[in-house]
Amino acid sequence: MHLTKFNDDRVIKIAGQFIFAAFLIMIMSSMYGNTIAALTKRGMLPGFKFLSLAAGIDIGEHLISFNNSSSNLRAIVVGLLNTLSISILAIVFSTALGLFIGLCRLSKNWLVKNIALVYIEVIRNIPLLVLLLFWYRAVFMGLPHIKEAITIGKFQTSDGFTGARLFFSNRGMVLAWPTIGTGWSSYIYIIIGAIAISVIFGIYLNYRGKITGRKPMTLVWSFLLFSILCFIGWLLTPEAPLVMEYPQLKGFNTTGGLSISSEWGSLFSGLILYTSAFIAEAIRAGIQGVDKRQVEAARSLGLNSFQTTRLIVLPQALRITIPPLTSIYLGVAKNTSLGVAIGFPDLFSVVGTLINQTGRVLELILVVMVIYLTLSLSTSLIMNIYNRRIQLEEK
Amino acid sequence: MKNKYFEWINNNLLNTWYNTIITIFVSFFLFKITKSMILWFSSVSWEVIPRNLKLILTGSYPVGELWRIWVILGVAAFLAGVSYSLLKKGITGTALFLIIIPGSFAFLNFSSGSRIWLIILSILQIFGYLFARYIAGEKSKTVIIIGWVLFLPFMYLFISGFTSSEGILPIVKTNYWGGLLLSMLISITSIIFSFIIGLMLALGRRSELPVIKYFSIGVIETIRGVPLITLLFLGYLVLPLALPSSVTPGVLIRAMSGIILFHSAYMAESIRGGFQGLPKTQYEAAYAMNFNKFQSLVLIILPQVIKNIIPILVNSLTGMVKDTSLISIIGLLDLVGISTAIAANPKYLGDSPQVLLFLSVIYFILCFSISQTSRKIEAGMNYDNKEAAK
Repeated sequence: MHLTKFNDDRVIKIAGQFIFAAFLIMIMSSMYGNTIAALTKRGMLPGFKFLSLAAGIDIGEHLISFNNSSSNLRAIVVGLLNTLSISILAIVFSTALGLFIGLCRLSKNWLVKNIALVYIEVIRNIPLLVLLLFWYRAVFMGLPHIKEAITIGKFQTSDGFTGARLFFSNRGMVLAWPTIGTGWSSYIYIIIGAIAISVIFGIYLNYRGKITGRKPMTLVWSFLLFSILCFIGWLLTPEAPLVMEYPQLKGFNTTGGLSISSEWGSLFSGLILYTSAFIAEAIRAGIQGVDKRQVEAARSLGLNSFQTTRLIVLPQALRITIPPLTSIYLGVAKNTSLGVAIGFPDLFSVVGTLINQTGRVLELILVVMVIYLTLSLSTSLIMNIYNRRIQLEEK
Repeated sequence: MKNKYFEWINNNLLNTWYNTIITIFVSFFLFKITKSMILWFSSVSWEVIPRNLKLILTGSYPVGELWRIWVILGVAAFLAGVSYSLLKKGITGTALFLIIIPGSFAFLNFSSGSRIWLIILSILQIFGYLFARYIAGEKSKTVIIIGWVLFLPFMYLFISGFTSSEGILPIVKTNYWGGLLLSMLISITSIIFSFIIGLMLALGRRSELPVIKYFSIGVIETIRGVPLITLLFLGYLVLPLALPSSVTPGVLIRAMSGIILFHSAYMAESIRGGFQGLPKTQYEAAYAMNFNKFQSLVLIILPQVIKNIIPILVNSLTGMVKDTSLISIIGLLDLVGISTAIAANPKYLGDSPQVLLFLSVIYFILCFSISQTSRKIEAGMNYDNKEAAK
């Protein structure tokens, strides 16, 4: 009897799944049919051949060469590179700022603690879009015209133009930036040598650490050694490896230096402000999540305040912080898509323009979704591996 | 008394030498920033806010029909008043704050009609509370549940209207809805629908049946991997293509479908967390009582899960309100969309900072009060659980 009941249950389950799958396929195929019919009416059968056609658009900021006869595919790649570069920079800077604010939030100073609290609460309760628009419309667009740009370190060049360390106008920011000088080709060998020496030193430190049982600060010491070697190398190279290039104002344009558009600046500053508040909160939760008795135990074992933080609090706080941090980082990459609201040519914004240009809605949205999915899944894969490495190994 | 203040300052601001230095530096910068902000505040013209206040709050909703929105707010105020009776310790600070706020706005320089309505909102909350306390009594819980469930359809019916232009409630097309009204309508509707879809997805992900399980996982992870704006565009541009040509959904529905889809995936994960947080003994107890799977889910598991995730649900409303701002990108005139429209008006050239600041204040008040409510509920539940554990 038991057996037949088991069988019945299984039959119901399989039948249920079958009906569900059939239902799903029915809906999907009907939607697909409708879409194809609608597209055929417009004379545009779905396909990806259009990707190799000329895009016919201009993109203000591109990391690889691009002009309006480049292909649609290249336009998408330009957008993707913009998204990636601004995401990575925003993640690095907002982690630094978030760490600082998170630590301020835990400060014993009442004033510092509460300023951090107000910052976190205010930023977290305002939409990112409003922040971005604020930066763009209120801050950057409120700056003077390029002719009356705010300048720092103004000087006159020999050919009569105005040069400066920094121009700040409603078109964005242009600042002095180091460029490769004549000594670069010899200096690069010094860098390679410095890397090799500091890696060997790091391996040696780890080896020492295993013998003595004391955890070495490998990264800190190796990096310090690397910097010192690079610095000495700089002094030894006869010609300067990098030279400062100062921007100059020529007519309504600037030449030289590093140019940051107001769109890039707004998106970057808005993202950093927004993300740092969330990171600060995650870091605060992580540090406060470490059991107070752990600190007390460490102190009673004779560890000083720095050792307690480095060896006891931080590793445990990291365990709590990594999972929320992962989703915050993923959020940054997705939030760059709001660049479309202020005209920054990120992946989504470029695709939006291409949709208007080519009318290829279905294919282009599919491409965007697949790219974002790949980004998200690979990031979360990397973070999961890191997370597994630092998690407590329970026996 | 003086000594006490001195002690507090000593302990919190000047306790070590470096804290003293930090305090001095921070106070200096705070003073500088406050000074320049006050200077800015007094130097710009704030005319743009009162002139466009109606636009910011309701979009181009016909002026003659604005009383409908006040009525909706009145019903909400009454229901809120009734809901306060659920609070264990009588009227709390938060409730008192909510009661006082509309009334105190009446002292501002609004039209006399608005002032009367604002005072009525305060009175209705008190009236609702007294009604629940002294008239409905035990029945007030039923009133609350039925009231809030019926509230959404009532709100839609009332705002959109259903009679011809001569009737009492003439139809107001959705493209006249805008501003804060539209933002709130979309947020509230989306959270309800995304909760329902999210619950189904969460149940699907926990299912033993592979087809349903992997379908749910696929949907959830795909949606969580892409930005909201791609889904908005999917709803806005692709949905009309995918539906039969006889069905043409309005812009509002297309926009909302993207938001609902997006949030239901996140909601599903919150709900799944709620399922995982429930002790295994609950399932075993239900099994031991000879409940079948469906019964144990509906009668034992779900009520506890939903109760446990109420704070998360309330908190996700803040995310919803914030994300709703994205519909301005596809051209809807929500709060942000209206601000863009005002910025484009040559009459208000250069007034963008004031408008955006005003928007930020509205968003902050909305989201902050929602997240505080969620914290209060959570604290109350922890208290309940501790009491029960005793």
